[in-house]
Amino acid sequence: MRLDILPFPYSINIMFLYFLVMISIGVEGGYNIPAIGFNNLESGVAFAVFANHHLRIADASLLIGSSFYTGQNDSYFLNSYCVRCGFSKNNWRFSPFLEFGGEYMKRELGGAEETGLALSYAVGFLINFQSNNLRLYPKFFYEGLTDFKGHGGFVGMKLGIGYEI
Amino acid sequence: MKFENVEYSDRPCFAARLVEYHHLHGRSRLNILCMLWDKCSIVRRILRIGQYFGFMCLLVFMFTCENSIIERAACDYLPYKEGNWWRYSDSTLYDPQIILVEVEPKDTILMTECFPVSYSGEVRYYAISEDALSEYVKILYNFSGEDYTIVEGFIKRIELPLVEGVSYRDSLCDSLELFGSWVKAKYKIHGFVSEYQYDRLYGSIYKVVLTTTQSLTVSGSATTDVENLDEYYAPNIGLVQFNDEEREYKLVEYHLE
Repeated sequence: MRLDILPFPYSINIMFLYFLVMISIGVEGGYNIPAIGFNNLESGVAFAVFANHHLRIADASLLIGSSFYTGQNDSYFLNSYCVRCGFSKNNWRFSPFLEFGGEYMKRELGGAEETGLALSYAVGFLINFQSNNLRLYPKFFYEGLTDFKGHGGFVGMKLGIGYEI
Repeated sequence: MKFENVEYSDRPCFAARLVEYHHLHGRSRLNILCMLWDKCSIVRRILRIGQYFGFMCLLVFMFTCENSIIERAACDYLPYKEGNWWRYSDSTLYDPQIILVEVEPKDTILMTECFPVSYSGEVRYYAISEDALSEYVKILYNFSGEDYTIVEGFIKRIELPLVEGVSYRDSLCDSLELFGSWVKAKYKIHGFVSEYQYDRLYGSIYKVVLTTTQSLTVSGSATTDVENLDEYYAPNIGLVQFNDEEREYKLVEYHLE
């Protein structure tokens, strides 16, 4: 969008909106396999979009994502949708990261389904490759899920791309 | 980076663009921008606090909700492993009946690896596959003092994983000609995972309603046995209660390897 051709007050408003809300946006996707619990699952794919905001000591990100896991039983599926807050250092080549948030989950077997909420978190590290405003990073992590009665987790790898506005 | 005594510490890249923009459009606008930016930093702080507050509300909501989807999805409801045992007692005060269920070392039947499970001496064979707990069924017919196997095989007893509302059926059927007359046997099972309930002691318990029908037809005359059974499974413990048409057995003691 060319901000300089907009009338003066609107251009400033839009520019400050960008300034307030985000520094970079991006997408990431990857592959997860069960590590703790979830013995009935085979593997899964995950996809997320994020907005990243630079704070003084770290980069904070707000991430909205979805995962889809297939079960060992062919008619069993596990879907999850998450909203997470994450922290990392995007200007480091090797950066640890931490994400935590909420997860809406749906289990489905045949026509029957169950839904529920859970707390999710992810810890791991990412390797940043930067070129101008573009940031490309592979991400390796353990993703845990808990409802404070049971616990399970996945190990996974994602590839992400972010663009600094 | 500094410009006109205003520090752009957070966004040097963006600030540089602002500077460039206002070099093109004149200094007066830059002054307005600087004023707006000062005000905006306060708004930004308020928004940031608001974001964290909203996120904390979401977390509190999740802490307090009575849902155990992870327990149900991640835990093992059928921990059949050699050495595990469970002791059940029925609820009658006089003449209580005790049943000891023990998992014995693995065995192979019909080229299928299975766990012999002893119910106070009566052995049943269970095979756990990717999608079901199957039970070995063998129907014999006695003719002239000798037993003939009419039906033999594994039948799906519980479809895995346990999910509320799942209904399934399985059957075994075969026939054999014995001295000029046909003997036909059929074994059917209908299972229904009716509900899960949260129990303070055991966690999320699934109730599985099983109906088994065994029929034997000899020379046109049929005999049929129907059995109804309710079973309750708890995460990482296994069967905690089962009811047949006469008695209700509850778990009193167990040991898991």
